[in-house]
Amino acid sequence: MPTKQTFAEVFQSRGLSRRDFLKFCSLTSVSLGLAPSLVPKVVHAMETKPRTPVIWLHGLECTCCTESFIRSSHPIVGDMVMNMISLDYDDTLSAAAGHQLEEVRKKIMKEYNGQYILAVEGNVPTKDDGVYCMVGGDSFLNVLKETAAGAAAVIAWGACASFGCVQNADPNPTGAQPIDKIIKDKPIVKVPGCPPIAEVMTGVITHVHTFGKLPELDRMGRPKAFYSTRIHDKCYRRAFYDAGMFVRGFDEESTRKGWCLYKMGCKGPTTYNSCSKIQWNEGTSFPIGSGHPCIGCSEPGFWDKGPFYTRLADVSFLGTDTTADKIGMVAVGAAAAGAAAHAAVTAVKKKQHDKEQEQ
Amino acid sequence: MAKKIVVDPIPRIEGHLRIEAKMNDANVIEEAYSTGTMWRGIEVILKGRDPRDAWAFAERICGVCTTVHALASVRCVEDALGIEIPANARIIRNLMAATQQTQDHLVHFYHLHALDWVDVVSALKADPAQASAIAQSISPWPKSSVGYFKDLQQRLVAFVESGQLGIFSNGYWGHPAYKLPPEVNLIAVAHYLEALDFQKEIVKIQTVFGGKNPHPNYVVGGMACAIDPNSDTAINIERLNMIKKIIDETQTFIDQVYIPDLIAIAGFYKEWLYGGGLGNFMSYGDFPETNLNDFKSLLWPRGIILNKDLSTVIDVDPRDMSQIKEEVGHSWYTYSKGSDKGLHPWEGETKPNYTGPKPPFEFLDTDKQYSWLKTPRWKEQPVEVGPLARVLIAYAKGDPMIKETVGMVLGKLQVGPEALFSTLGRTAARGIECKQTAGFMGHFYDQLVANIKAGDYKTFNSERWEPSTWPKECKGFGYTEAPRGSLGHWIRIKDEKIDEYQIVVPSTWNASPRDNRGNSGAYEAALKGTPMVDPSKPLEILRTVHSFDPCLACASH
Amino acid sequence: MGRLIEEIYVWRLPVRLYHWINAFSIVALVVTGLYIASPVINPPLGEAVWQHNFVMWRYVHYCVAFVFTGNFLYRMYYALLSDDRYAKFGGFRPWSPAWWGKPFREQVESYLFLRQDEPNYVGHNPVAALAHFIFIFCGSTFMILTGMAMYAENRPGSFMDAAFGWVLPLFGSSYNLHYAHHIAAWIFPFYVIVHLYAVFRHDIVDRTSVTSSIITGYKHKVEDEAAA
Ligand code: HEM
Ligand code: HEM
Ligand code: NFV
Ligand code: SF4
Ligand code: SF4
Ligand code: F3S
Ligand SMILES: [Mg+2]
Repeated sequence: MPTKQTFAEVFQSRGLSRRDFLKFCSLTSVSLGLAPSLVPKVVHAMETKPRTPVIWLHGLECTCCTESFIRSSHPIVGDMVMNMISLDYDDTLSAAAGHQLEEVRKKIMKEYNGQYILAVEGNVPTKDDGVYCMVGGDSFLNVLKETAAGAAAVIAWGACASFGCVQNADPNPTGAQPIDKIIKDKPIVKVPGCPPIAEVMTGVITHVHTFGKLPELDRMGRPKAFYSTRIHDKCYRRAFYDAGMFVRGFDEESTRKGWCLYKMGCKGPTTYNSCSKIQWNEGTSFPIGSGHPCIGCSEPGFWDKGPFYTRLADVSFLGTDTTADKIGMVAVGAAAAGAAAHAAVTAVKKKQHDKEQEQ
Repeated sequence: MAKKIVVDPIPRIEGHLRIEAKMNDANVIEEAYSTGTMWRGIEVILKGRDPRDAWAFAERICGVCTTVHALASVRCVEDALGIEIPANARIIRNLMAATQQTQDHLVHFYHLHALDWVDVVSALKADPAQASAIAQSISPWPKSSVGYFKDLQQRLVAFVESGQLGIFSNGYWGHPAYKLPPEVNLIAVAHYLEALDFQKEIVKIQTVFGGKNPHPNYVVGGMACAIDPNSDTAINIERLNMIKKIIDETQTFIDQVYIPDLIAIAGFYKEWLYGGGLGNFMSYGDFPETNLNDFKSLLWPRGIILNKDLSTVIDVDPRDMSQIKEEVGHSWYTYSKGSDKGLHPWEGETKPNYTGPKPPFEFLDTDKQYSWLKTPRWKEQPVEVGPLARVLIAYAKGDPMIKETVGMVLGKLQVGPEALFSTLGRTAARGIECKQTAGFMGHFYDQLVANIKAGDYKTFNSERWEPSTWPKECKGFGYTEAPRGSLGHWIRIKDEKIDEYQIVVPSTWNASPRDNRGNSGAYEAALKGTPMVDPSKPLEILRTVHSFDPCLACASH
Repeated sequence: MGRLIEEIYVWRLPVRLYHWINAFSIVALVVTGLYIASPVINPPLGEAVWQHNFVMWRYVHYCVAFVFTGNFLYRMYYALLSDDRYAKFGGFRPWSPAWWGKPFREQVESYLFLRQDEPNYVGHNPVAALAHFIFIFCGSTFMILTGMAMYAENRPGSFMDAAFGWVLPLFGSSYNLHYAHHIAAWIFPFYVIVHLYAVFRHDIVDRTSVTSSIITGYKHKVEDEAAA
């Protein structure tokens, strides 16, 4: 049974030496950002404990990242939680409740200090002592800090934990913050999306499990494997974009023919995600594939870039809502009007001056 | 002196729920207090935005009942702006809502609720041959051979022996309130895993029409997915075939796995009839066959039942400013014109005002404000919403299909209809409704195909798309029957922007704190009178609370 | 009419060349840029792969953008390394309080009609220098950095990405980057209007033939006729 095998046993059964195994362990520690003194601990863990413990916390969120996670088709989540990781704490799926559940978290934090992965779904409310999200009688803010302290690495699930998402949209009534604003001293893998694609989520975990290290991250802290190109760059409607064939309203001839949704406000050109490649729900479709413009749900601050059905957001300007182009046009108009007025005054002054000179 | 116990966090729900309960010396619950411990302020965030964007914000209230807030939202905006959506859009939305309901109920039963009744560890002792025999006796489901259960049991043994129990760590295994024989436990574990795998298929229907799940896309005025049987980029026969296949499989899974399991498990708990609660039930109705204001066309009927009286179904009108009101006397909010009066959502407001103890704390002050949920009441009365309410109202109204399914389930369990007023009744009602709704899915599919066949491809009404066509000021109401019950969105639009947006959610009705008259909501009422075998392992509280399928992100939003 | 007393060679050929290439590219970039932002031409139904309507607008924008950038760098080079005193912006020292002193004040006062005499400069007057610095130097730098960063988005891992990819996180997101580039584009039409007005006005008021100087290179000093 694979479930019974420790990592050490897996290595043995594949004909790899103990040296290979030790090398793997130290590489793992390095890529997890652990101090070299912790390597023997990792070796011990790998020899005795087959599956990486995962603590999955929920803050201000909608649980849709969890829902997406359980939609994964390869691997399926049953295999994931039975064979690959040990999802020891997750309020959505755990059997234990109340203090028995908190006990599990404390136990993992102690026994696997420096070895467990902390997965976070949701934002951290920072206003008013964190009373906008409380777990087990304490603020989520405290729980998160406490649990992060001994984590080997942190996974930030979804737009919430990565960048902020809906509760952090203007005016952000709870002071909701993404987790990198709170956790500063751990490697954080951001997996944005509202929610992220299921196979991207399980892909991130299995990457660590299979290759023994964290996936390479881009400048924004996202795994390159899933976030290095924009929706637009692999969109099947791209030919229509290049041709300038744009949908101008829903349910028109052009819509049925699958023209480009750029003019409907599609944020594909500015959105890094795998939707146009992996697609959603085992490759069934993706937003653009079903006729709706991308709203940019894996991008920082996308909620405040509305209205969604326009290319450029409304901005607040001197107390009014307007667009960048209106501001620009007003400025240019003002410049022209100003020049004309200035010319008029110049002419008047000059006439006066000439008159004075004549006298 | 009464002992107080706290269950927090409550797992296997959506969001953050806390229960404080007072027990008497015989360990029977005397008072219970239900607390939502998170608030995000979506109603506040929606203000000032484009009403056409509202669905996306509202949808993020919850990823478990994803879709339903988007649906209620587009419906309330369309109501405000006077938009009639095309028939295809109505049918597609019905199909998506039905998809949500079946998937959500399946996940609830197996992954959120089953472990309150099923002892996973006991399954290790099961005899696979006997498990196979039982499975085959209750259902024609093909995955029921001896070998199948043997393999599974071996996997389970390996899993338990690894010493890492993962999500099963520290559960109440061996608790005396567990009554199932090891073989039934083993079958349930098998179906736990199968359902986990299958639920992800059902939602593909939403992906076809809405582009993804969770959080599929909607538009005000219809649906964005174009229909054209002669286009390779619109809904064509390939897409329809996929939907048809999923509907068929869903119906089979519910008939051959969910319902037999429900009956088998419930059969061992027939005497555990606690958790009835309020006895008041409400449903707005849903699945319109014409439009939302034609109540006779709703496949799930609307109405109110009071005091378990199935002989009378009272009308409910969520637009009537005197019927539905939200109170904040025990919630962490204030109202500018006095926090002691309830407000109808069209004049509602959301102003947070935390007055509880500074965390960390041991107990909340449950005599004062103690929850992030408001307290919705119908004519000042608490009502329960959800599958049980819907089933009872349809039953009381004499819906023949519901009568038949209810009769079948009650008959197999050999209990009378009064057994429905209980924790188990609530759980059974969810299964009954799931079967009914899966049936509707086939009906909606047929309607869609018939329309397309007749040459009707229309999915969107563009008349009121441009904000310049809107009235300067208007208000609207949108509703749906979400998996957990009646959901309403009330909107006020002014100068092309959202002026006020109020959401009253099923779980707000059920999980609300006490009202201004001191009356409990459904959770609190249902917990009263429940005896606890071992208060340090409050399995009974989990059972009853879970039977409502709590969603706290929804409830407080 | 005044009498021509001196002819000064102010704008050497490199400056004039730069000026007209710059003027041409800015017009082209504004037009193609705004078209990219909201395309209006609607091609007929048909196969998309055979049409290049929109991609051409973008292509032109990029081509001109590189001309514009090269021209800009060339002007920087010329300002820093040539011995052309009028091209060097030598006197432009906004960090020094002295620079904001009398000459600058006088020029502003003159524009505000607070003084009768028009101060005269052979090179740029201080206000023009400041305007060029803000709109042309800062504006172009901004457009080039944001533009190149967007261009780099097309090729993750490329040289362009290595050179300009760091710009994107400064703006927080790709959308913000596009937005910033778009809104900043408007400073150019604004500047051009003010610039043209200033040039033509100076020509009439000071009678130094500034306008033609950017074509011929020569400015003229004119002596006022004695009062009648
Ligand atoms: C898009 C249009 C234009 C742009 C962006 C532009 C930009 C500039 C810039 C950047 C300079 C400073 C040159 C340097 O020192 O490197 C300049 C100077 C000048 N430009 Fe233009 N220009 C434009 C059109 C014109 C036109 C149409 C004329 C007149 C026919 C003109 C006349 C001049 C003159 C006379 C100067 C020197 C003035 C001074 O700074 O004292 N420009 N222009
Ligand atoms: C005076 C200088 C420039 C002006 C006025 C200008 C203007 C614009 C405008 C208005 C847009 C549309 C933005 C949007 O709505 O998305 C745009 C896009 C763009 N510009 Fe420029 N631009 C200038 C210089 C440059 C330069 C130097 C580059 C460098 C390569 C550049 C590269 C781009 C790119 C890559 C885009 C995005 C096109 C797309 O979305 O496909 N621009 N520009
Ligand atoms: N309560 C609730 Fe929902 C449902 N069903 C919403 O309307 O779960 Ni999140
Ligand atoms: S990122 Fe989006 S989907 Fe995930 S929890 Fe947050 S709101 Fe829900
Ligand atoms: S539909 Fe969106 S992502 Fe696809 S090509 Fe058009 S603009 Fe790009
Ligand atoms: S809206 Fe989100 S799901 Fe993909 S196509 Fe756009 S990033
Ligand atoms: Mg509300």
